[in-house]
Amino acid sequence: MLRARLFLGLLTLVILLWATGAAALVILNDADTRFQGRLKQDYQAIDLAQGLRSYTSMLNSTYITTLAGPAPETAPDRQLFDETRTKVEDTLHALRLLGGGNERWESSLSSLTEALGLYFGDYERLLTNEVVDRTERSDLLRTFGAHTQRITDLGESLTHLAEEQLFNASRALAAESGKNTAFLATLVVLGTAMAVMIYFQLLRHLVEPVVGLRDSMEQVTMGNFELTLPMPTAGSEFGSLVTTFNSMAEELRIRRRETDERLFRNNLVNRALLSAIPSPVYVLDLHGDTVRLNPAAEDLNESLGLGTRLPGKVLRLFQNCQQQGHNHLPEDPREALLFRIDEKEHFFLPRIFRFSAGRNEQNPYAGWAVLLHDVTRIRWLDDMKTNLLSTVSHEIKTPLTGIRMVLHLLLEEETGRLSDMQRTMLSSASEDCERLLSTLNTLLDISRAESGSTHLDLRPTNLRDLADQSIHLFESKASASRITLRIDAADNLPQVMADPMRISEVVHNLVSNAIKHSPPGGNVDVHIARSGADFVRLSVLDDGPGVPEESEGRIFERFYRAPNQRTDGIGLGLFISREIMRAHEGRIGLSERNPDQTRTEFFIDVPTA
Amino acid sequence: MSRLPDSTRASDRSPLRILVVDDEPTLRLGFAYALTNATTQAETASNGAEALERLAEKSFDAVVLDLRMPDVDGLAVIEALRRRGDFTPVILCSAYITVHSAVKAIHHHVVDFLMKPVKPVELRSAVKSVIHPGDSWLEKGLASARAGRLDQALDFLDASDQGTLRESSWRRILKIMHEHPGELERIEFELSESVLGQLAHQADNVRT
Repeated sequence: MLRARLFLGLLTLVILLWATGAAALVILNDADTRFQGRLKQDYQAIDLAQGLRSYTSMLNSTYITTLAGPAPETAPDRQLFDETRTKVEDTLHALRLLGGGNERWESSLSSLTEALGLYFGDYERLLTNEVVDRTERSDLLRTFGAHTQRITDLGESLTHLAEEQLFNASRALAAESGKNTAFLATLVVLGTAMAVMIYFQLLRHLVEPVVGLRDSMEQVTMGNFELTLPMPTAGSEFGSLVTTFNSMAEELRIRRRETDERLFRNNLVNRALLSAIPSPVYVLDLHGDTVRLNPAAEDLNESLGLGTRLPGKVLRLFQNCQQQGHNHLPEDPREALLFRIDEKEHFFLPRIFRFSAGRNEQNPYAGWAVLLHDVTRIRWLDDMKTNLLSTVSHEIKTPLTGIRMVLHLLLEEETGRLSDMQRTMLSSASEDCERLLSTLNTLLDISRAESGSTHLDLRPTNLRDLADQSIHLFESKASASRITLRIDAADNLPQVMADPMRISEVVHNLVSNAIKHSPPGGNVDVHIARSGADFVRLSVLDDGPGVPEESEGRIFERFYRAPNQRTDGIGLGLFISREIMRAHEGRIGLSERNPDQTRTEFFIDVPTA
Repeated sequence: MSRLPDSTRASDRSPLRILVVDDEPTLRLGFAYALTNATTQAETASNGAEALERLAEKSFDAVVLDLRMPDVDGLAVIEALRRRGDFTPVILCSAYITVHSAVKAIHHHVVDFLMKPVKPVELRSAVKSVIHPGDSWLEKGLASARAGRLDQALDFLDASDQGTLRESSWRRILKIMHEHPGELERIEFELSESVLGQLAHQADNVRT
C-alpha cells in the first residue's frame, strides 16, 4: 500500500523532472536554431548589400575613366559589364528572397532595383558608344556619380534594415525566453509541490506509525501491558508489526498475571509464616526503613506507642550492626532487652541479621531482619533455677557443715580410738562430704555469677602484684608435683582497671588449671605484657597436652569438661572466669597452638586504667 | 547440755569459757566438742535469745556465733550485746556473708569471720587468735580493731610488708570505715562483695 503510494508519488516526480528537462532542452534548441537562422539571413543580406558597392566601384573604375577623355573609336569591351550585371541581378534576386515580406525592405529593394536599372542604362549608352559629344560625356559622368552614390546609399539603408531586423529578432527571442522561463518555473513549482506532498504522505504513513509504535513500547517498558495498538488499514506494511507487538503485549500480560498470582501466593505464605511467629519480626531495607512488621511486632509497637519504627533500644543495636555490617545473634538470654508493657517486665533478645538475594553487596533486594525473641519466660525460669539452686544449696550446706565437723572430730580420735575399719569408713564419708561441699560451693558461685550480683569493685590495680600473690599461693601445691612456677613481666606496665579480688580469682584458676594439667617436672610460666593500646595481657603457659581440638570452642561453657580428664572438678572454673572477664569488659581465651609450639597458653586481657 | 562432754578433766587453771551459738544441732555439738579440751570449755545456745540470756548470766571469753538463725539472728545478738556494754569477742560464723552484715559486724568490733564449713583445726585456731593474738602485723591489727581502735589497726596493717590479699582486704575495708565513721550505708556502697572473700580466717579461695 505504502509502497504503491510511494512509487506513484515518486514516479510523478520523476516524470515531472523529465518533462521539465525535455521542455527546457526543446525550448533552448528552438531559440538557438531560430536565432542562428535569423543571424545567417541578416548577415547574408548585409554581405550582399555590401557586395553591390564593390560591384559598382569595380565597374566604375574600369569604365568611367574612359569618359574623362574623348570618346574612343571603338566601343569598350562589354564582357566585364555583362558578367557584373548578371552577378548584380543574382544579388538582387537573393536580396528579394531574404526580404521575407518586410515592406520597408521591399520598398528599399525596389528603389535599389530602380537605381540599378538607371545605372545599367547609363552603361548601355556608354558601351554602345552613343555619346561622343564632350558635354554629353561629362553629363553622363555626373549621372554615373549620382547613380553610384544612390546605389551606395540604398545598400547602406538595406544594411541598416538588416541590422534592425537582427536586433528585432533578438528582442523577440528575449520575450519568448521569458515565457519559457515562466513555463519551466511552473513545472519546478509543480515538482516541489509533489515532493512536499510525498513528504507529508511519508510522514503520515511511515514516520507516524513508527513513532506511535515507539511510544507504545515505552509505555510497555514502563509496565503498561494493557496497551493494544489499533490495527492499521488493510495492506499496510505495519500490519504484521502491530500484530506482533500486540501479541507480545498480550504475552507479557499473561506472564504478569502469572507473576502477580505467584507473588500474591508467596505474599500470603509469607504473611502466614510471619503471623505464625509469636516473636515480633521487623523487616527493614538497607537504610533502616521498615518494610514490614508481623502482627506480633504491630502489637508490641502499639503497646509501646510507636509507629512502625524499631523500639529505641533495638534501634541503637541495629544502627551499630548497620555501621559495622555484621549480624547480631546473641544466644545468652542475659543479653535480652527489658521492655515495660502494661506495667509488666518483658525481656526480648534481639536477633538482627542481614539478608540479600545474592553475593552482590549493592543488591536492591538486600535488607535487614530484626527478630525480638521473647525470653521473659526463659529469664524467669533461669532466675527461678538460680534462686532454687541457691536455696537448695544453702539448705543442704547447713546440715552438711555439722556432719563434716563431727566427722573431723571423730577422725581426730580425741574422744576415743577408732578401729581401722571405723577409720576407713569415716575417712570415706569425710571425703564424700568434702566433695559434696565443694560442689555446693560451686553451685552457689554460679548462682552468684548468674544473678548479676557480681558488682565489681574497680580500681587501678597492678596486675603483677596479683600474679605474684597467685604464684605465692600455689607454690606448695606446685612443688608437690615437682612443677616450677615462673613469672616474667614487661617493664613499665600500666595499671589495669580491675576488681583485684575477682581478677585474682581468675588468675588463681588459670594457674591452678596449668598446674593440674602439667606433667610432673614441667614448668608453668606467667607472662604479663601490653596487648594493644587498651589492654594488659596475662598469659599462663604450661607443658600439658593442651585442649583437645574438639573441645576448644566449649571449654568456657558451664559444666563443660574435656573428655578423658583424670583431674577433679565439675567444669566451672573457666565459666566463672569468663563471667568475671565479661564483667570487666576484658577478654579470656585460649591462644591458638602453632604446630611448632608445644605449650598451652591461656590468656586474659584486662583493660588499662 | 546433758550431751556436753565431761569438763572435770580441765586443769586447775580455770579454763577459757566459750559460748557456741548455732541452730543446727549437729554443728553445735561438733563445735562444742571441738572446743572442749584442757584449756577451753564450751557451752551452747541454740538461738539468739538463749545466747543473750546465757551471756547475761555469766561472762565468756569468746562467743562463736552463727549469723543465720531464726528470730534473733547473729547480728541482732551482737547489737544487743554491745548496746548493754558487753564487749565479749565474737567470732561470726556463716556459710555466706554479705557486705551489709560484714560492715555492721566490724562496726560492732567483730572482726573474726569463719566461713562454714569449718574444720575443728580452723575453729580452734580462730578462737586462739582471738584470745591470744599472734605476733603478725595482721593479728596485731585485728586485735586493735577488735578493741575498736581502727587507727591503731591501720597503723599495724600499714607496717606490714607481706602484702597478702587478706591483709590488703582488711586494710581497704578498715580504711574506708575509718574515713567514714558511722556512715554504714556509705561504706556498704563503696565496698563490693568480692572484698569479703578474703576477710575470714583460713580463707580458701582456690577454686578448681
